Amino acid sequence: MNLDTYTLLKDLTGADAPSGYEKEAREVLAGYLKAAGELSTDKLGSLICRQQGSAVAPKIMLAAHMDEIGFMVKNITSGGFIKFLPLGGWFSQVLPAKRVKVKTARGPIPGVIGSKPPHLMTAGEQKKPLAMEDLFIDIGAGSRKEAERFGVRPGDPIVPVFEFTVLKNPDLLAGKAFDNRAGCAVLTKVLHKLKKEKHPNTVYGTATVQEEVGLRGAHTAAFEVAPDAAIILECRIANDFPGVDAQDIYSRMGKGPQITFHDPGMIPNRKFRDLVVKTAKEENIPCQIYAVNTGGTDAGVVHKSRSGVPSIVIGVPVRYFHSHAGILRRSDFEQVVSLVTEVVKRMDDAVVSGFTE
Amino acid sequence: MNRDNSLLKELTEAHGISGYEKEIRDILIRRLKAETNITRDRMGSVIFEKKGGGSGPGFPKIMLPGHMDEIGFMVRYITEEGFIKFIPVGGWYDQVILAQKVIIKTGKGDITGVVGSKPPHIMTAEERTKVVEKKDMFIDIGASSKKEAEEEFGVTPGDPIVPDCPFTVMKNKKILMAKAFDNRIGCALFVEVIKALKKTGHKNTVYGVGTVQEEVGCRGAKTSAFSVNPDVCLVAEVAIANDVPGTTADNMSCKLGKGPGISILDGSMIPNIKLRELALSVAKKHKVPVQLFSMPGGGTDGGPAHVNAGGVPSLYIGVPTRYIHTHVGIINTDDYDNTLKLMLEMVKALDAKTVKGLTE
Repeated sequence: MNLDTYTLLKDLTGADAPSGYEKEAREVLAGYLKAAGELSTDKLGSLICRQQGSAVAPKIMLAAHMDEIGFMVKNITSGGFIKFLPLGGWFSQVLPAKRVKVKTARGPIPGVIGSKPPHLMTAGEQKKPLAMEDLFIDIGAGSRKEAERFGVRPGDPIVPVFEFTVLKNPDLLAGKAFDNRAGCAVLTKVLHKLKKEKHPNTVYGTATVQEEVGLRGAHTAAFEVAPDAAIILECRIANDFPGVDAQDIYSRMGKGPQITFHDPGMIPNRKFRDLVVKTAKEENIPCQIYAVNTGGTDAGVVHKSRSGVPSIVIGVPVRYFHSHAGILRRSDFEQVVSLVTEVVKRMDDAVVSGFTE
Repeated sequence: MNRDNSLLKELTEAHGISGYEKEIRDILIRRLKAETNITRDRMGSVIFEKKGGGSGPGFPKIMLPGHMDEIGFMVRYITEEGFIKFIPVGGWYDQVILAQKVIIKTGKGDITGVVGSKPPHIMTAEERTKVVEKKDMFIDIGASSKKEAEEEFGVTPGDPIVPDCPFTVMKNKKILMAKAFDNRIGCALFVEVIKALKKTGHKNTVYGVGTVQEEVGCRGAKTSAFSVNPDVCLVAEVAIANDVPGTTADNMSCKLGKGPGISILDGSMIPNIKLRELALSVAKKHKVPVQLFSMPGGGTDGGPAHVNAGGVPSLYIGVPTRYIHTHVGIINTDDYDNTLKLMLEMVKALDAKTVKGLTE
């Protein structure tokens, strides 16, 4: 199976799948994962790929959410404009004049988030941030009736549009939805690598739903899998850009996998954390300690599943996520794949039992 | 049947911010070299002369300016870490810039970048309530140092930066979405007026003019009006369509699909009243719907053109366009076609006697 990183990321980020509407992403992933294990789903829509290694136990969950942030049609104005609800955390100032796609039952239609030209603004208006509830989407419909004829209905999902782009330095990629199709791509590559190698456990590759609206899919998927340990595969913030004081830069692109030591959702199991750091060292994989007070991941609910699951979050550094245009480095991505693969290979029954002794 | 949008597609997808209009000039020259006599002013504006059924002192000169430049940015400097700090070229509103895709035109070719933005996760509550200003923005081209950006990518201060948005036909095929309708639409209009005149004849000499540097102060219109020395000027432009949520009847400018906008006043010009009346009567005669509008907060090439020499009767006619001065404008092709028809019929009506009457 061709697992070229570029193609994999292009296919996965090309799927339009905001929270609650993950079908396209699930289908793309299922296409890639069917050769790597047995597929099943939980009742909220998360996809589970079971791959047994040389032992049935322990059960290792590798989880990546497949939903992206987007919007939903709230209502159509009499003039044919779409008022929308955000799905996930959007900053209102990255929205005006952005292209979007409305996914109607009759197919996708292009639109743009409208904005007032500066010619018509007072000086006071220019200095005020636009509020989410004042924004609207223009699909070129002349009336509500015409919009309905286009197939638009309240509840239709809306996704950002941004062409997947290789930058001048081909190690860097720009695109939408790296959060968290990059994690899904890591999941895919790791499962295919493990398939060819020996691992003393059973891996449950899990693509969860509805992370961006509150870690909902991880809740049910973790119950379904009942793992003994979990690795959450995510994108995490790289804040190495202008406007951030050097002392406040806590994570950079190009410096390897981010191992979360703290975020508001979880303090990782200490022994598991040490295993990951030690593995990185043994394998000569650079890594960054990621300790923040902002942003959570699926680990927030997975580590509290049942009677507790030792968990860790390993991230691909991404700049500008939660906007149309994220940027990531392929080298970071490949290092995350290597690190996760090597960690899983070390997770036999004794090691995993040791986490909670 | 699908409309042929190739002229608008080619013109809007071309890159040409103020001062860097070459790509557009080349397209216009290729499109009009068979029909016209081509000259230049010394600022870079290109003048396409199309003679009517005669010539000489009795034949009025009609200027149709359409500015070739679009708003964009320029590389100001590169930070030590390899990010581009930029200068806006033309009137940009802060809140439409973040997270947009842009193309930097370097000496070594085009490179893609995005305007960076802070994820909401790492904003303070106070930051969220404040507008991010252009001076604090930057473009990420994926360079890891100033050296890489300059030496390997070829980025140099002064390089132009253009918005990136592919030309898109929307669900209703009459609705088009693109960057730079302001003012490639004006360029397209004079190209098509001149091509149509070739078949019908006209009692004047027409000067389609692709002007430069409108967005930074109508500079090319000043020099090209001097060069042409016209008797009448019809400014082919976009008009602001603001028929969108949040606009009250009090503030309504133009609506999409209701025909060309005819300006009653803008920030740079009060039109010649007789010329405006002529536009209304021509529109009525040829059943072209029109909208009267005003734009006190903006100007056009009509500003310098109408005060050229001893004065030039001028009128600003615009194709209603939503969301100008962003990456993505929207127009209705009916409006474009009606504007073309109106301008064409006006040119045909502007014989020596009519032109003389405008200032009597």
